[in-house]
Amino acid sequence: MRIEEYKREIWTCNHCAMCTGTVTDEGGFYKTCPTYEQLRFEDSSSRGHNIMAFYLLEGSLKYSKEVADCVYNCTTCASCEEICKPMGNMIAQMGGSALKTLLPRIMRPLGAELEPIQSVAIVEAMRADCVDLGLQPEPLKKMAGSIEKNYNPYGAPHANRTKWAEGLDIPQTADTVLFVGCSIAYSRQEIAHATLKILKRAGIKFAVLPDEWCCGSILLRNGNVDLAEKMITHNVDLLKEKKVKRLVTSCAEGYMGISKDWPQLAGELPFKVLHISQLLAELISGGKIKFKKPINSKVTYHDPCHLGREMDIYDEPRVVLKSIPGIDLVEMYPTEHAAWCCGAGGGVKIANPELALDIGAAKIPFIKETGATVLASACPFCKTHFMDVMERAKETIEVKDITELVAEAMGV
Amino acid sequence: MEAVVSKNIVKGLEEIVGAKYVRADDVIRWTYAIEDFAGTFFHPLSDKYGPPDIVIKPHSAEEISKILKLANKHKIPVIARGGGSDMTGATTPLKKTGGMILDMTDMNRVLDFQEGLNAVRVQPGIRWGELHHELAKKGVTAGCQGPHGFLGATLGGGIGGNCFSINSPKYGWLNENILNLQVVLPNGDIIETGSLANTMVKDWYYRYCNGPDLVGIFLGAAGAFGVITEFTLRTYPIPEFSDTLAYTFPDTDSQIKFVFKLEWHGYVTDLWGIAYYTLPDSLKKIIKPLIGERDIAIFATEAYDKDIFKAQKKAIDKMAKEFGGIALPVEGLTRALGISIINQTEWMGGGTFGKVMGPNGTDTCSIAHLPQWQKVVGKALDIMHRDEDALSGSIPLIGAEHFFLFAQLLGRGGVANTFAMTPADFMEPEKLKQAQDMYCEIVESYMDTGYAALYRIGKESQFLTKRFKPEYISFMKAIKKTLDPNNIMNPGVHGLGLEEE
Repeated sequence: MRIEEYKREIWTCNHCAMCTGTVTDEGGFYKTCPTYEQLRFEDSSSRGHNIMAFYLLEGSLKYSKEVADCVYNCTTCASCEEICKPMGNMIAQMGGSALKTLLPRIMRPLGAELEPIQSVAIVEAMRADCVDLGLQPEPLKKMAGSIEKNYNPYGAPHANRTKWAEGLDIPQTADTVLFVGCSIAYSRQEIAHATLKILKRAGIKFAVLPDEWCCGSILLRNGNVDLAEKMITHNVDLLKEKKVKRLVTSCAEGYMGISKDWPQLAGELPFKVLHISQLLAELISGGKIKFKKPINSKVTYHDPCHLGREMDIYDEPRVVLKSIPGIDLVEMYPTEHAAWCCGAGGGVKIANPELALDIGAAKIPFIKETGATVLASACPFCKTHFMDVMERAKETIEVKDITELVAEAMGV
Repeated sequence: MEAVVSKNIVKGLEEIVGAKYVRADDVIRWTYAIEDFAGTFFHPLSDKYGPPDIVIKPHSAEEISKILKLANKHKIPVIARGGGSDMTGATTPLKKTGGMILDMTDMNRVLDFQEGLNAVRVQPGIRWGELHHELAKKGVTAGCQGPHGFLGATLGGGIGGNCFSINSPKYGWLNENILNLQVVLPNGDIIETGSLANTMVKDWYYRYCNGPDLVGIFLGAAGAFGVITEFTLRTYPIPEFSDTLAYTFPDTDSQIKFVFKLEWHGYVTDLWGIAYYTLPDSLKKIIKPLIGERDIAIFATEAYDKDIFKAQKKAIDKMAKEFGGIALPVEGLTRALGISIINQTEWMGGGTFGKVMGPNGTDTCSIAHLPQWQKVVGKALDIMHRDEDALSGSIPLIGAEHFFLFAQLLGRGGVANTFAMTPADFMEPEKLKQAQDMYCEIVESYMDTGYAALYRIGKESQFLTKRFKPEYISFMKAIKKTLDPNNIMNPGVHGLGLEEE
């Protein structure tokens, strides 16, 4: 079993229940696990998953369809890990999110571990076991099949990957590569167009590679480890062959996958990886982006889990939004490290779409409380999902990616 | 281990609470087969505990009443569970009895708060953090801040487990703040206690009226006598002025005398004490150059008025000097950092236990009257030093030592708390066995000094109950027999509800 690798983690979890419904005003959390808040039994919480893993190792519980159904309800939002960080809220109180990120890095060489229980990795290992045993839910099997055949999870031909760029005269070689990602290439082309216009206007020379494959993140989140490795190897070889020096992506999940997962499977990457929000913040502060048109709207920002909690990028998207003339950025509560997940991640939108929508809908009151008319995010998958959530709830709140808002304000 | 409850019973339960709220599959059964590890690293390894047969999520006292009637008819054990943060197996079924768990976390509403009543009426499944959040909106506090950062714990569990709390030195334990209860008795009757026993009283909350104080028998009973479905809790205004202060003392005797006087005068909200001689060598090396071989008392003090607060701090300083105390300049530092020892985030549970204290860190937390404290700590240290090798889950933050012992924690009335962490390495069965034996030996040594065992009231209560006077046990058994003749209510807690062996 792949969970054997996490035996120490599984035993180290004390099952204290912090990851199950905790509210702490001092830590900024208002409840933690989005799936538990919907399903309300322990087997849908991170603690429940860790206990299941314990008994799977111990032998009292066997892998089954029921086990698979439970572990595939997790959005892998990592909220459980965030609240589990040792003394994390106290550290955050003393020095904010920055200190919380920095301190473990300082302490680690001194032999002190301030890491949380790796609950997401445990779930992903359980999912990998489910894949090995043929227990993965059918919609996710289908998704993996599509990636194997077409190198994208949307069932569309690989040849269509750069259809959005037809006639736009984008080079295929440059030091900087825009890694578009499947969700943007096949589903949210408006983000691709916005990104393209911004970069061109800012004078950035960049390429888009037609032979880019799925980044593998969705596969790793869902336990398809071997297939993910194939995707990652292809992409890394391609980027090395093209002698790429900098990779930029507008996809939060892709950014996490490339930054965190790729080096684990393919070794150190010979190029720098940036999320578009980082590049935009840099371009704005360097005066390379000029705004011509104010956007007179109240905007609230949804932190994508894979960009925020997983990659500690909280400030840059906010810097970008605040720099746009006319935008009144209002924070939701909870936010940043304690932000609620949209519900789509970890394959939940594919395996259990109703649950995904319920989780997303649970965030609507927090959004409405801000009085915002626009919900901004920095992840194509969050955008798609919130559009579906708003449509089901018949809400008029507009959902936009930060690149769209920037492009609009630049007048490009 | 197969579930033993029949399909008819499951159907009966589904009719009461709805099919969505009844689960009897293997996944749910094993998921509810463990609580917090920290106090009982035995139970996943032992033959004592097992999974429940059914897990139910009730939403009202009426539903629970019907469930208990059904359980009585079929003689099925019933265990009410809150956040599952108990450390003594209190809400885990015994393997030999099995039973159904009532997961109370959907009964989590604030039912009534009336300004001026200084009381809030809530359901037991509310978690500590949520209660603080709701009360803060009203500008009040529950005083007690919960079990040292375990904000996922519920108040119902705290009541059943006699929860000690951050701020207990000032506000008392959780159960000292309970005014009324609504309880579903094992036969399904729903009763209300104190002022609410009077049919003419709807929203006035007082405990000591209308006859004997029947609240007490349900507090700390871990559901052995019924299921608490509502309760009223005292509330307090939030003090406007608060500081964290610290003093060092030449010896433990002076430190303890100061702590006693401080508490006697009502100046302390919460206090942690450190006795130099109990510290691991690695910490001694850090502390000695800074303050010498002195003992430390770090505490929070609060007031509602600026002038009173100023005078209070002056009085504290005079009091400390009387016992050779030297002030440590923590006041400005903690204020600048925005933290205090009375923050809810004091501990924050989570990885703090597992990762900082060492894998499977197990505490032997118990309580005693302050003068006993040195004696108890001395014994615990002797045991731990004698067999240090058994405790191989090291504590990286403070060096190479394999254990940690918090010297003292004050409760109201001179109650001290000894908190010995014994992290065990489960990867090596022999070492684990050694650590388990050490754990038992430490707890036994606590008990022999007359300690009341705060964390030993669940199904690990054998350490405590074997020291009970026979008449006391008979009295508890008589209550149990009267209220719960079929022994369906959480059999095993306090050694009650099991047939004589």
